[in-house]
Amino acid sequence: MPSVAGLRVRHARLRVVFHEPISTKGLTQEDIPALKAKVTAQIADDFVPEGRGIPEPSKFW
Amino acid sequence: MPAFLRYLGHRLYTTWATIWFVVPFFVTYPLQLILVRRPEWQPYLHAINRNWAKFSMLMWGVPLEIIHESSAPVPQPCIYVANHGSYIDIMVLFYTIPGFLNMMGKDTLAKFPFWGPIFAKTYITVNRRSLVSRGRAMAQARQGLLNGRPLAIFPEGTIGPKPGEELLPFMDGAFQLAIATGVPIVPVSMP
Repeated sequence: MPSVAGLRVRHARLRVVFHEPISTKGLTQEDIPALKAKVTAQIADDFVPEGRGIPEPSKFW
Repeated sequence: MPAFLRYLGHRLYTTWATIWFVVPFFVTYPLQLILVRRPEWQPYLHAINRNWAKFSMLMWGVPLEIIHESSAPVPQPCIYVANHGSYIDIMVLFYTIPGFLNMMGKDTLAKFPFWGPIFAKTYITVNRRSLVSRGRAMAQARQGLLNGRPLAIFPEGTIGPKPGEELLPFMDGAFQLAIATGVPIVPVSMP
């Protein structure tokens, strides 16, 4: 069973962005690096400062 | 004192969230055990999972903003390629993507008690270190797409050390599959 010891639940506003579909018609396996770079850039563009990182565990004191 | 109150609030909220995650699953578990037995029944099982995700998030009081950059309907089938910052991502995709979504997850998901075997039969699991497992997963995903079932993949393969800040390098599988089957890719950001 996977370790769940570090699981933390944090209340937060969630945001999901569905970008414009990218057609792959006519592309070949050689186009994969460019396609990956395009998708990576689109996804990373939506990152916001308040969504960064993993929340610290809360402490008793 | 504020630290203690924060700790207490966090513990209470975690307990609340866990209860509303686990209870709907066990209430529907007998039905899920039946529906998982036949492939033609599995769309109904996925519908239960979608409603489970919606109900849990409602009970958690989590506001969810859904943005579609394109006003046109998403061409189907397609491959949804998303970043992976948290375990809740799976629920968010179940919640927001209509229809009988297929999902590729790492094989450790299949080891979760009760839910794992159901996930493994309804969706696709892959051991990234095994060539055989990767090949089988790609074949399953390809067959699903050819049957018109959309697929969601987290091409990072796992939750990175800096979610929401840095993406891990994307693996090729989703892109190879999209090109081989000619289906579009829909990038999905969950910041």
